[in-house]
Amino acid sequence: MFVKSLKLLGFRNYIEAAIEFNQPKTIIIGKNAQGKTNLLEVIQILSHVKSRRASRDSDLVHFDLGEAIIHATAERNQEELEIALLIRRSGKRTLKINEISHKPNELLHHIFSVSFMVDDIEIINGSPSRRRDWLDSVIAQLDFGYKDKLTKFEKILAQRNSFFKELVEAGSYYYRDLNTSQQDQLMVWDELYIAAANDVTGLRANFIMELEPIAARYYSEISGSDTVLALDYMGMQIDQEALEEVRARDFARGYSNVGPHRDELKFLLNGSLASSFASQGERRSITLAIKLAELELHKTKHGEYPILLLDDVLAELDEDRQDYLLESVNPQTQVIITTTHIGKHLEKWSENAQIMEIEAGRVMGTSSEATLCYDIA
Amino acid sequence: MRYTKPLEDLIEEFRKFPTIGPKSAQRMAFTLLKKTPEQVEKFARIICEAKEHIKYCSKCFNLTNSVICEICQDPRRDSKQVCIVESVKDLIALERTHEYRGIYHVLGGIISPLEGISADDLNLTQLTTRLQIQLDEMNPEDELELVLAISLSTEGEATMLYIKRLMSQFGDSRIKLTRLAHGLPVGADLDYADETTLARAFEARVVA
Repeated sequence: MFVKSLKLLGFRNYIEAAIEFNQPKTIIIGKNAQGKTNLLEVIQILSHVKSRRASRDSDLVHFDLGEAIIHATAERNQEELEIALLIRRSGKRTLKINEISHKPNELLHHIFSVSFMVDDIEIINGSPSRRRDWLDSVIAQLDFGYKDKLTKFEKILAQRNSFFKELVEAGSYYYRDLNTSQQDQLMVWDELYIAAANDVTGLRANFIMELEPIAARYYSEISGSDTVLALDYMGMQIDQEALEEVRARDFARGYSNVGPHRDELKFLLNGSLASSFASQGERRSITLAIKLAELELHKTKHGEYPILLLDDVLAELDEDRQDYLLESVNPQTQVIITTTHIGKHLEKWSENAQIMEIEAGRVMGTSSEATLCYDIA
Repeated sequence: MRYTKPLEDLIEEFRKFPTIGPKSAQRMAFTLLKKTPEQVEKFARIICEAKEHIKYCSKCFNLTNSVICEICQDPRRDSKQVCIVESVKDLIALERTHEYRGIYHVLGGIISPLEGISADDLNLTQLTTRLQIQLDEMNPEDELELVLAISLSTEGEATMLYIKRLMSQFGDSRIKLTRLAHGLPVGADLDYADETTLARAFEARVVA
């Protein structure tokens, strides 16, 4: 997987920019708030549809412009790929892949990337929903059916919750308060809910099962110790009985209390919960290990490594971990790093890297003769 | 500067229609203003007459200008096949195929708690009543087929499951439930079908 070029029009602080990637390694250098991360964000959007940094599409469009255009060329398994994405402030997107229109979500299946951002340590430290978001975004790239299954579950969940709320509003707080038609409807929502929930939970559990041994191996290499990293996915397959067990609570809150939207994932070091007991350094090592494991899973599923995006994370890692990260990445992998300066750690790595300087939404220091001459709408 | 009150009211009324935005509503209002008083009167009369004379068929809830709709009255139609649809629009779509020779039952919606629509808001008691009457008149060895022609959305699936439960409570072995096959659209390239559609089409493959 290799992104060869990016052309941006009206994206974030880039009024117009054209970038050619001509080396497997790229270092994007610049002061803070110049737009380095925005370039990584472009690739994240091209692979994950959404960006964690933008809650709305209007956040992605330049202040003075009505819409943003991203145009990218890439190579995947020796095949040429051309993607044009038009992002409107309204949130309506237009996507063309090799000049053919596609639904915007189709982006999930073409460009693959793994990113390692400064706030990824929140996967360990943050709330369960942060971990579920991580699971969802990674699995969506590895299993093409996952996103549809997740969307389906979310729709059923919304309907089922709404059904409970309506019952409660009408004064029914227990199953015995329901009339036959309501009982039947509850059974219908249960049946749909169980099937959709188990689809999602099953794929998540599968993913964790595949990721865990690889991440554990990386962890022991990074830490140089015999501490064992384990990932414990607390999602369960549910059945009618499980729903009936929480029925009283579901009624009380007008909400579905069991299901993949409540699942938790635990990171354990020698059996102890990392978010409570691990040191800051150990947590960073876990994040690093799972990211490297993600790369391997991509390789297994798609036959080649995804693009690795490293956003200023090197500064967060100590020297040993920096070296480990840079050395353990396969040399064929396209790696794009942002940094404020090329310190000692990047010196060796930067030898045959392409270095790009960013200043206030402009790409300096690389030839960008390519002009914007394409048409999408 | 704003439009005078009557014109603004008119635009507002047009805006209440589905898919009509402010611009379209404005265009429609101005078109109406250009017409002669006679033309406008005729238009108003047609609207009132439509509302007055078009009613729901008391049997199947299709639209009709009499008590029972044309389809239910047609003796060539097979009354042992009842196709259950969400709306009259779907009924018309099926009629256009000229494939189906049975009769219909229009639900008038699908179950969607988010929009405040529950099973009780659909024409389902009417369905069970009419099926009961029909079953009473039928021979013990005859079959009554219910064809579920409902969209495959979450709401559609919930509605189908609900009807299935309803029918099993009926406990009459002469009722046979079927649903439309889900598969590939005719004339479309295989590789353009989404994974779910393709997987379902594969599951429901038939002998060639």
